[in-house]
Amino acid sequence: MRNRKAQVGDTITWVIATIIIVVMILFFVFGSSLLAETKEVHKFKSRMVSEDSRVNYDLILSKSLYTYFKIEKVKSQNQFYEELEKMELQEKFYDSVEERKKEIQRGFFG
Amino acid sequence: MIRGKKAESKIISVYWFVILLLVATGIIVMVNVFYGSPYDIRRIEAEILSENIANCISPGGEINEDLLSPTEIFKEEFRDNFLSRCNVTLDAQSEFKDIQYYLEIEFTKKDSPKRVLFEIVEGNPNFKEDCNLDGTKHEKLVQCVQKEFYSMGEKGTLYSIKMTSMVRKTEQNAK
Repeated sequence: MRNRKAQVGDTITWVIATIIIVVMILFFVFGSSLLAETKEVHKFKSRMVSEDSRVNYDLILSKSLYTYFKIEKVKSQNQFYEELEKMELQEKFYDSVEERKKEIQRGFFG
Repeated sequence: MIRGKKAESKIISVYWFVILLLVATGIIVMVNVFYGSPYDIRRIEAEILSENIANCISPGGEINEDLLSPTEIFKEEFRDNFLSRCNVTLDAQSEFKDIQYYLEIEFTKKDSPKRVLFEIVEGNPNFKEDCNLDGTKHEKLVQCVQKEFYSMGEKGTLYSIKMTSMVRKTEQNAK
């Protein structure tokens, strides 16, 4: 009788262990399916191991900034720049208008 | 007693074998689920398409002289040969498939943004409606990218250029 009790106890342990293993596997399968949905491709810098590996260069913004530097009248240029800043606030660019402007300026005027 | 122990250890080794199989199957399923789902590169593809077109239309802050004459008149010939002039290929992948891209470029004067002066449309307009669907509903159907930038004519007139590029390719990019 005591032997049977021990056997029942052992069986329960194994059954619970099996259930835990199955639940854990299901949890990880579900987790991997969730992770699979987050797979995305971005433009990366050539050096992957850096603090911020994504490239934020926005070519479309650069196009507008090239035009900005071609405007001759200072007043019109300032108005144009304000327009670009408004667009930046509306999150139309990936890049910072100010930083990109400085970078182009360095390229143009050294 | 020894015979009972032998039978018990046999049962336990079968149990361990079953558990091993279960874990192995779980790992195979996990790897398959993760690596089996495709990368959705349509947004990037649409952005690259927009950037190439922006480079073609406005190479250095001024509108391409093949598109806008010195007297600031848009040339029909550029629109007719737009794809070859900008080195863009929007071919379908096979004879039996539709074109999976759509492009729309609108030119307006910066001061009067509602009046469209010139328009270039290429590709398959059938999924244009899908872009107007609410929220994330359309994301699996089609990826739409809208970009806007400014450029200048030879006389110094400022133009606003709105580009809409769409890529469908749902079968290859979304499950």
